[in-house]
Amino acid sequence: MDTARKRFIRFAMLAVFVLLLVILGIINGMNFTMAAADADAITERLSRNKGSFDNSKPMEPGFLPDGKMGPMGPDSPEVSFTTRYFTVRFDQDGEAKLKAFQIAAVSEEEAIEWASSLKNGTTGWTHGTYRFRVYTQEGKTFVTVIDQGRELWPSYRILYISLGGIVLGLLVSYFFLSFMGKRVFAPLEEADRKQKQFLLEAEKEFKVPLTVINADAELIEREMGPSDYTTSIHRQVRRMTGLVRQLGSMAIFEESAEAKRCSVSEILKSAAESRREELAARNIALTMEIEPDAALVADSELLRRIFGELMENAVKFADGDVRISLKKKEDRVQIRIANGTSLADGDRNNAFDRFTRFENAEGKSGSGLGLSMVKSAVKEMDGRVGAKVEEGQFVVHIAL
Amino acid sequence: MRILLAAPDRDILMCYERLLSQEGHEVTTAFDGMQIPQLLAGSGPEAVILDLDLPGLDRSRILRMFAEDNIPVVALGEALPENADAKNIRSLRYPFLPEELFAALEALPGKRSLPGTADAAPGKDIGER
Repeated sequence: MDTARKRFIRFAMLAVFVLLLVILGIINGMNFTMAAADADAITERLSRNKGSFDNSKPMEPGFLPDGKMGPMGPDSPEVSFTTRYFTVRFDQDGEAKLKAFQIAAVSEEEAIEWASSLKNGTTGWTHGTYRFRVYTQEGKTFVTVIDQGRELWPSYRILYISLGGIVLGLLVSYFFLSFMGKRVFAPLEEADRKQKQFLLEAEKEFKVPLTVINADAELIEREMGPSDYTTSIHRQVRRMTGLVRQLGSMAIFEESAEAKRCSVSEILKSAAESRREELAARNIALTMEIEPDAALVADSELLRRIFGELMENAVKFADGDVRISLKKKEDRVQIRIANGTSLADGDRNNAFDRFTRFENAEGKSGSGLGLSMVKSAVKEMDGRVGAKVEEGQFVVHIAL
Repeated sequence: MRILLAAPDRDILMCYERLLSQEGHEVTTAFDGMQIPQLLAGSGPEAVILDLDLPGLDRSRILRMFAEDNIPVVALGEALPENADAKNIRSLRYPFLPEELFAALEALPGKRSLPGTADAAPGKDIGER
């Protein structure tokens, strides 16, 4: 449940980030686009008078006597006084002449140099915050460049504030989600805890009665002879025994308890040795190559269940020898549990899907949940697990 | 083999006392941990089948006592105490089948089999009877 809460917080923060990015991206995109359009309107106005403002005709002020607004923005009469610009004209022989020069930040030589580099373009931004337009009139090419630095500064300010807003938004949402996440998930965690508690209690309460039922059936058979009814009792008890064992495993597998340093070698060896006699009775050899002293920080009970489940699987389906190996590799541990099999060679990673049973499972008890629980548990431990059949061996390999 | 069977459930005691007797063992039962020390006196058991949930029992102390007397134990139930001497003990989880208990007894270190226990073959598929 803790993993689910952290996953929820990650996805929620990703959603907040994407939302802020899209909204602020659109706002800033529109802002800069409109700034470019305003600049183009000014260069277009300049182009109508061969690169300079026509102040010969009187222009209406911003507020008219009748209270209406006069031209605003690029068409305002003040624009001719506030716009810093220059225009260079290129004659047909390519000679460049400054047509208009109302700018302080650029020298005349630089203006001609800039215009020469831009004259093959049409319109756009140059040298950061300068907007240019190239147009042709009477066979001559004109390049007009206006300084939009002052006009763009508010747009940049909005952009920086937007970026800061995204970071702040993510921080606020993280703390909010962390706080709210605990409260939202508390009832779910409680329900999950109760479910696990119920599974463990149910497992405990079923176990002894099943043991007694089977022992009673065995006694009846011995004293009165076997019958279809006692055979049926044995069969159903075996089935219930498998399911009850998996009930307990499900509760333990889903969330591990306290992790501390434990000997993986000893736990694996113990799980394997406990099945040696059973295999020997079927003339199946068990070989182990377990490097000693392989230790990890993990929940030892969970490891016991994982190896127990894998040994259960290997023993149940073994058609040939069972081989177990454990190798240490730096701070990790690699385990192989292989059993002889009649299955065809190939990748068998779907063995870890829920309810998957292969063709050799016919007539054998099991719900197909065991290996899926192993996979979930190994993933919780940041490990990897896989299965394959090679050269007549069903091999499960785990890296922890 | 002289076996001490200790479990809190009377039905378990009844069934397995009978089954183990039919297997040729001499069985003494206990349903409370307080009974165990006096049952160990005299010609005590050669093996013990012990339910770890037996009341009146300090698990670690009693398992240590069995280890000191070299009495092997089949422990029924969940995890053993951490300091238990595992060389002396075979674990068997509930629910178990009769043949699984017989196989665990057969596999005990230092146990002495009586004639007639050869039929207790582990892994016998009851469903095939």
